[in-house]
Amino acid sequence: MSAALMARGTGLWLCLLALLLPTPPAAAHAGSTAYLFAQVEGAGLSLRWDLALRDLDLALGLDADGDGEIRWGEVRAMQAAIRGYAGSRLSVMADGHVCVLRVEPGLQIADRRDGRYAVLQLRAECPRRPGQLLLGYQALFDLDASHRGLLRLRYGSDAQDSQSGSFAPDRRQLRFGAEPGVFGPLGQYLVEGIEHVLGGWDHLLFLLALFLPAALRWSGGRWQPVSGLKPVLLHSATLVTAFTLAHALTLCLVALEAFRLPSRWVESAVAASVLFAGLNNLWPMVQQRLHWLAAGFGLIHGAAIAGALLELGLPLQGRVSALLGFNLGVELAQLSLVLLLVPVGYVLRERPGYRRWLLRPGSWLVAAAGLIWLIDRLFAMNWPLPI
Amino acid sequence: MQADRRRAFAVLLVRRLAGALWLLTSAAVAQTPYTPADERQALSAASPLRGLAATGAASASTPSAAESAEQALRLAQQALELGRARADPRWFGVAEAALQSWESVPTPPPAIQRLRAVLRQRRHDFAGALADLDALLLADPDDSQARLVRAVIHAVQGRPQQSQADCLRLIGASSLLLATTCLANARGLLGQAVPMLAALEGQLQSPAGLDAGAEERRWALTVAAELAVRLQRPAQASRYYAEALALASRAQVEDVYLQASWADFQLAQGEAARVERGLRRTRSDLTLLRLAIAERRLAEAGQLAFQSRWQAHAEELEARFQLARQRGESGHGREEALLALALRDDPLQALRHSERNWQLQREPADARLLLESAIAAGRPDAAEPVRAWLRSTGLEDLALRRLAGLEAP
Repeated sequence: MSAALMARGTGLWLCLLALLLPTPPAAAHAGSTAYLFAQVEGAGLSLRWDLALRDLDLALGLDADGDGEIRWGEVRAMQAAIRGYAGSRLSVMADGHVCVLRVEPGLQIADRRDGRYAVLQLRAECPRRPGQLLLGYQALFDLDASHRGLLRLRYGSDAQDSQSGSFAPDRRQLRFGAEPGVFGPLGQYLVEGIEHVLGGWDHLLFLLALFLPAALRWSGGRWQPVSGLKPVLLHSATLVTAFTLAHALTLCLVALEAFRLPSRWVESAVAASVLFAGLNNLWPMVQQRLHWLAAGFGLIHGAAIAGALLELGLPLQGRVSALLGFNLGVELAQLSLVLLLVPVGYVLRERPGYRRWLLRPGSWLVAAAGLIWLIDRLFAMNWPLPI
Repeated sequence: MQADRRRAFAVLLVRRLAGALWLLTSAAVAQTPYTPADERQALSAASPLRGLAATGAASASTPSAAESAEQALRLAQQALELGRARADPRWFGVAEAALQSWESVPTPPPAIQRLRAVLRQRRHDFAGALADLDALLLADPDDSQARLVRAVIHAVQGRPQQSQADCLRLIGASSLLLATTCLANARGLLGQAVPMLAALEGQLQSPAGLDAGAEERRWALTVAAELAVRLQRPAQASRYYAEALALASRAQVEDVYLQASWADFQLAQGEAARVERGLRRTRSDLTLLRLAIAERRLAEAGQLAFQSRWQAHAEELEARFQLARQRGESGHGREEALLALALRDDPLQALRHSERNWQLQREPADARLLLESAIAAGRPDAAEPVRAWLRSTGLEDLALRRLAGLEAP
């Protein structure tokens, strides 16, 4: 009886009996695993990708002569295909921008516990130093549902400062960096704001023009020293805060896409504001309501930086906190400059040389720079100038 | 008492640190990339399924639905067969990928759904596997393959009554040896070990049983051996194990479950040296774990050469389980608990693992681990679920009952 019934093609099923007994999913060898080590370096990501030769063999067929062994010569001959495969199965996005992925020439071998791996070096070039990273991984999932890509990502050089994740068929993307919570973008963009002030010449020169005469007051057709550091600091702080508030207003309006101004005109207006700030020190035109002037310039600068910030890729969630962070950073940097520069000006304010050798030449310098930028931007000359 | 505990903690800490260092250095050494000097150097064995991308499920051409189902099924079966024969889980992933077009289809063709159930069971998705099997059996109550798989899952998960019901339906629909093995497996958990072992012995000695396929006979022998162990008949168990192991080696199949079961039996008999000899070249988690336990016993009995070996094997296993955790795998609870209990002297950790495992698997081995961990951790009350299970099933595992503080049934 049994033999006749057994002949109904249950052969495979009996073979499977052994599979049904309680063994863990990965009883003998590890399941297919690839290892990615990524390091943020400069404006991009350097990656090392270890792919098991047996996995690559499954995907590409490495045993060219069919002798059952994958030999180094065969791997070398397939280098281009392996690099092409890797390059097409990984993607990197940084702060909303697609990074250009390049698989470096050459391929090495690494020995791991469960066999030999091909080691590839890759480089993802991003528009700037990556903050928030989105990595996409597609290798081998179509051939092996148990494949996992284990990733370790480092932002700095500190080994402690590494994050890890695992790619799986149902988790083909991993997100790292600034969390979309409140603190993440706020902190990140706070740093951006500080860098913006300290890294942009137009902003610095404009502030320099404002602060050069901070310890002086224009009265009776000449600059007079102000007595007492406190009013001087307060006055300067009012100026930069008026600037920041106006700056924040346009920045938010533009960044939230309430309106958009043609960048050429905005950039030219920024240059004009620098020119005006320099000239205003040489031939004072506005002195009593200087904070209104600062606010007006703030509006212009805000519109200019908004465009740049949008290109940076403002995160969709947490836009408001990103903007808040950026503006706080701008304010923080400006206030530090006030605390750094204004006391120096205050100490030197009584010296006759201060006006002659610092205030006048400095203001001329600022005005000249503003003029050059104005011509360059207004007529789109594309001179190689620092921004 | 306090000093003792402090000393144990210090020993543990030193071991941990040594382990971590070993891992760090070994990982660093193993991972440094290099360029082989010789073009002819063999780096890896080629896959028996070469270039799946070109031929298999991911084919660029779009065959008809029937053709592609046929192809996928064939590929999945080939991969399963490889995984089984080599005890290599990678092939189960390949089989699953071949069937992935049907992953979210509620009712795929029966042949595909059967395979899907087995694969789900493999990665310990018992609920998913049972859903598939229930659907198959609802559509065709005479599907004896699905019936058998469901019977085994019910037994593994501690539902012997349901397992028994499925096994009874196999009588007349499959070989008598197979149905008897299935029943012995289920009813052996229900206080019927003595008559079921006799029935199984009878079937094994019958002309049809002697004539049965090697796989079928090996399963019957494994079940018989475990029944004999629970009934404390070591001579009989030895006989079954010996024949089952011979069948596996003749078929060149690495039956790690059988090997581990044999090793547990030998270790309980105090035969560490025999286990060490038998498993010396093993690589699989289950058997490597038993090898390390045997080596440790030998080292503690004065054979100091085994001291570094068992420690290295314990580190290796720890690294493997860590990788499994990174990969997001579950289902190593039983092995992790045994590692913590027998090799790491960390009963609290063992208790955590075996409690988690008890939610997934409820065989006598799982019950024993939970009991031993709870007792070693000084929390015998944590094993109350095991005592309740022993009372409700009437399992005749005399050693287990003694451990649980229960009378023989």
